[in-house]
Amino acid sequence: MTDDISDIAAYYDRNPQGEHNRLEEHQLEYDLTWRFLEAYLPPSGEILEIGAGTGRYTLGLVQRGYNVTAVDFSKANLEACQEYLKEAGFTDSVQFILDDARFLTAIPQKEFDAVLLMGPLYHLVEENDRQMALKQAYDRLRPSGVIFSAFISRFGIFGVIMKIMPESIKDHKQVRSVVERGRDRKDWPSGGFRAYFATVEEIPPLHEKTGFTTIKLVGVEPAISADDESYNKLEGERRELWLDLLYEISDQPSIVGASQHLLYIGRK
Amino acid sequence: MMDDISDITAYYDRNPQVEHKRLEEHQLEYDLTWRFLEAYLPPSGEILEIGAGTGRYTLELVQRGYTVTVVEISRANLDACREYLAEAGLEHRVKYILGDGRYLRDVPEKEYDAVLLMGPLYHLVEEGDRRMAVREAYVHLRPGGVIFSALISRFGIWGNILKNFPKAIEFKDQIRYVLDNGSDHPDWQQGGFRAYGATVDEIAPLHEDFGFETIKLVGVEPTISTNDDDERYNKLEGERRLLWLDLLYEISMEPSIVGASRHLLYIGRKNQILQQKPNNFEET
Repeated sequence: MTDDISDIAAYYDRNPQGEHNRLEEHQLEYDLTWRFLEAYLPPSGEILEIGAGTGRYTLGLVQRGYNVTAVDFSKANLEACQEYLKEAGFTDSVQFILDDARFLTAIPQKEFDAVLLMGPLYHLVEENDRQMALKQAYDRLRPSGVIFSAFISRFGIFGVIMKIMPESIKDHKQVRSVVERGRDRKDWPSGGFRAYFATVEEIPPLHEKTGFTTIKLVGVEPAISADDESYNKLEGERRELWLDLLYEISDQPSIVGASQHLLYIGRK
Repeated sequence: MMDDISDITAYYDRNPQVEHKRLEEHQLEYDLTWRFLEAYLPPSGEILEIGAGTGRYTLELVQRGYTVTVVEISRANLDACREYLAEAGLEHRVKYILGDGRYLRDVPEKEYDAVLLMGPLYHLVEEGDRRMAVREAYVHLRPGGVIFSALISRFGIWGNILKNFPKAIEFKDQIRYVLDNGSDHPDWQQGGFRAYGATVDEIAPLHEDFGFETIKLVGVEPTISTNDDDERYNKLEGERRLLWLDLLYEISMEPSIVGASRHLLYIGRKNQILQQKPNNFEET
């Protein structure tokens, strides 16, 4: 049975600007993700972006010459995405489609060169739903096409939680549920950011079961725990040099899971 | 050839109070290390503490009833350690030895129940020297005795450097050398905190080569990376602090985050020498 995720669409519908601003605060996540997109995307082609949000990556892709089909589950996100691209004068290079990553009913039957699945796997708390989303991604890729999927790391989030809500440790049931199952306890009040927190160990097998060959699994916020501000303040060459170093250590197996966000790169 | 480490001795000799205060700032490191000591030390016995520093762990060990022999390469640290124990009226419970972790000449030839090697492996940048220190620990343990070794994590230090010394990244040769070798570039100015940053992968083999059986390798500062993070933990009080410590203890051994901690703790056991049992059916 598929999960009712209308609360997640509603979450984004209420405040698309929140998601748009998020990546301004998390610049390392954004910069490092781009390093990996640049390294593993084909030089040109058609990209299916499932969970495009408000278009932070969409615009960068279009500016680099890719044709993009942007799918989002939240109408408000999709409209914000459309608006964001329009402001930059790129409306025509993108197709905007309101759809659920598990079904992709409205997506044209064609083979894309790459799929970005950076968002849906944050939220699909049922393993079966995550598999459905990956199967859809797989089916839409050409042979040897590349997938980029993003996850939240179960053991990478606690530095931030200690920073912004240290009192939450007292909710024993919730803490146990997140540590053991990667999701909220059963009687958690709905309407908030309902998410799934993955272990590093489960990510490659989840993709390989669908038929993907793993290229890399990296942490896109290595070494910083809850300290985005120090990175955001860096400028010029100093910023580039730090990014070089963090890129280099982002796939070290002993630290991957300490990043808040994980990026899986695989090939069909 | 053994490395000349007189600069490291001098570093601590210049200001033993810095080291003493360090663990007041790094309370998570200290609290979690104690969790593991409590979990894996025998309930009583003789402990050899190599690199005791100013006695932060020594005092608590003595208060918990252990007999402790302290070894330290810095005379100022050793004096500060004795002083710290004296303030608590417990200096007579400890034997103080000025010595080098690589050759424990003045340590009595006896078999300790546990060895704490929390310090020397931070500083011995030559692999041969680290091996000597681990071997010395091994030969001073009784069969079944436990070792606790602390190391700095090569990939766990960068968050703090990014926050507090962002300019460091511009010393490209030095950065390259630290990433590849774990120690300072040969041309790097001496006299500072000369240290060795270990990779997670090398630590268990370093110990297993001498006959240790690995119990655990953990990060003692999981999920935190800067002094600001330390302060947030330090501010936690009462039950809330204990609950956070429970959680961090639990995830400190997760293989995918161990190396992100600035400090690592290895726990191993010296193999029991199994007594050859008489062959039963020969007797019958």
